[in-house]
Amino acid sequence: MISLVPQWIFSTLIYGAVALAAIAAVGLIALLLIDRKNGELW
Amino acid sequence: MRTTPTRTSRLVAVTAAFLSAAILALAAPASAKADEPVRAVFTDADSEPLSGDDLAANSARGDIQLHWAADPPGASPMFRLVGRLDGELVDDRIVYYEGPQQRSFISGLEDGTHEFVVMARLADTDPWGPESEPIVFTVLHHSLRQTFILLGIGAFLFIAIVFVVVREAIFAENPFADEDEAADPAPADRAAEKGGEA
Amino acid sequence: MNSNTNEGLLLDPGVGFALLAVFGLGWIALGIWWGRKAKTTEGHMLAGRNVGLALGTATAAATWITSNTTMLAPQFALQLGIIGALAYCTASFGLFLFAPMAARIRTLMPNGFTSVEFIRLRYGETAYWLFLLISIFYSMTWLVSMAMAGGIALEALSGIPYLTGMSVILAVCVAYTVFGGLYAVIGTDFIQSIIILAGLVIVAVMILAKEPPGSVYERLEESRPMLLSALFPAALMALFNNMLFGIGEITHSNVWWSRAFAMRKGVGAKAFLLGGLVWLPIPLVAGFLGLAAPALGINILRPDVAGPVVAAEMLGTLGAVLVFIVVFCSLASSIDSLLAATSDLITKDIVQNLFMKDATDRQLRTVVMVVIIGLGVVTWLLCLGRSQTLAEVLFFAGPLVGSTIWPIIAGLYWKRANPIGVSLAMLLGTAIGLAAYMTIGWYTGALVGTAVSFVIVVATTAIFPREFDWRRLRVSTAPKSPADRIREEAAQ
Repeated sequence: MISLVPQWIFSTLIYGAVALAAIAAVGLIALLLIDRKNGELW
Repeated sequence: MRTTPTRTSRLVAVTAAFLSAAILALAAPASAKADEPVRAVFTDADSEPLSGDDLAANSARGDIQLHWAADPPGASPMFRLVGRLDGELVDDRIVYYEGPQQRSFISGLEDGTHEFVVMARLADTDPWGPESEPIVFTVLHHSLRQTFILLGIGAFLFIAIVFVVVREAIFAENPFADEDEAADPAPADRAAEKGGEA
Repeated sequence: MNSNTNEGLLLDPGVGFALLAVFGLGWIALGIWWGRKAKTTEGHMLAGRNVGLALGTATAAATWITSNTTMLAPQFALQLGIIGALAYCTASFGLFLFAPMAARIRTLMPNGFTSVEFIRLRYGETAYWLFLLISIFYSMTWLVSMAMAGGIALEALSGIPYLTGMSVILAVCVAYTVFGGLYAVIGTDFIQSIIILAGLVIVAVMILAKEPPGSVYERLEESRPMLLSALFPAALMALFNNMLFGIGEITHSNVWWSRAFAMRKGVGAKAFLLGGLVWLPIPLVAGFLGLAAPALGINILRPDVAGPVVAAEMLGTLGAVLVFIVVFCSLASSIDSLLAATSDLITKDIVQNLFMKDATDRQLRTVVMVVIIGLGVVTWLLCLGRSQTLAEVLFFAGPLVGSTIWPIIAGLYWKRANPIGVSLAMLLGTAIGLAAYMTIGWYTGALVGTAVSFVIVVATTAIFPREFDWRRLRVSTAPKSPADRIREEAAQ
């Protein structure tokens, strides 16, 4: 018998990963706007 | 010269047989299309039909790349790929694919002997044609003992790396502390930085 | 649902060429624009050592997102299941662990340039040669496999011929790296990481809207149960091997060291930590595309294009365009970094160290540009054959880079690490690791290489400690006097 990863963990992982990726994209842009000390690039 | 009746009749028979064979041969594809159900066979990647030992495969990861084709080639029917684990009822077979494509990658199979067959039909209303010779696919995943030995070694190495790096990141002294302090007179900045680097 | 999918292309070649042209010319234009800021070689190589947190985080994440992360992760999930996808995610530990090291590197060598330079100053000539060989081998195989993967991916997605796609990707990356140096590499990395994240999130959300994880789970449970197994042996075996491979890649490679040198003081640790967090979910999001295929009734023709096929099936042309752009960005963000970091290494540690000790800034700048173009040409020549074996050589790198982890850690933190022991560790770690790879299996290469090297480094340091004067790291990399600088700038 195979011991499966429970369904709620599976769903949480998928939703969590997508949410984290979305936060990362928004966060990077926010970071760029907040932190002005980015060398001479911007 | 006189032709004997036997000879004549033989000639006629041969001619007739030849003619009918030729007509049959010409008509065969059409008649097969109309009457006989189209067959499907498993093939290798180059569309050569598999037979004998080539129909057996095994894996420690439970995945297999399957190819198939219509028999005779040339027709473009719909295919249906089904499979079951040895011991399960034939009625409970899982349909892995239905459509016109001629290959599929199947993965995630559990330990045991799996049997795949493919069948074909020309029109949606036709019944499925005869089942191909099955591919017998034996899956035996790596033993959990071997797996846990490797996991153990890996976990030990990982923890050792994390332990040393984190410990040193917290406790290692900057051998140039004096110099850096002299060069950087803003204490507030430096305090913030130390927090960040720890 | 999928009855009309051909084995054909996801995207019209014309659309593919248009996307390639728009993005390629865009990157080159940005490279030229940012290149104007690089007044000195140091500026060109290390972006003026002034990179801030936002760009630092983005460059750490984007460089680590290779075409593998977007193309191979769905295949990995499809073959090794949810545990396989999680095993892939552990590669982010390389970034997490490098965070404190990046801070330490900048403290020890505020004016350093490359990882090889550190090894030479810290451990001497024998270790230098070994480490240089490992570094060059790793960089070249990564570069070749990436350019090759690019050509293959563009061909699979849009029918652009392999040779054309591979040549265009390489030429675009060489062009903007030559013009803009690390400024261009890091600047484009920021834009590329946003595009990759946004593209993947859009595709994933649209698929989730049609098919929630629950029904994906149920379908997998029925037809491919091992993909949900918590104890999938092959996936568990890959777990730490994969993680150690990733840690070895990041710890030793000049791609990451040059970023540690380039980041503004105090930024390095935070940027690598955040970069790891940004990277962490990507293999799982991309992997979900692979796992969703059976639930959506999508036939996987071959595992290596599972992700793009699912995106295109679900979202039509829009999905295919998004995937094309994501793949192109993930390729460019890694190829440019490799070109920049490897050219630094060749310029500093081979050309300057062995042949041009007294080179002026201006001469070095010319050397850097020639080396970048040369690297591009060599890579292009190696990719002409489209040899699968050549791409697979990258997996040999596991034991090589694994054996460098402990020499680097000991070198950065332990005053008494033994130089001979370190050289032996790299040599034997590589040899025994490669032997394990060949005899036991691919999933042991990095593991055994790291283990052997660990034992040798720790044992020789404990039994034959050799005192090191940290000062040597700073004296040898001390910058020129302000007067020298003014004179050089005036000469330009």
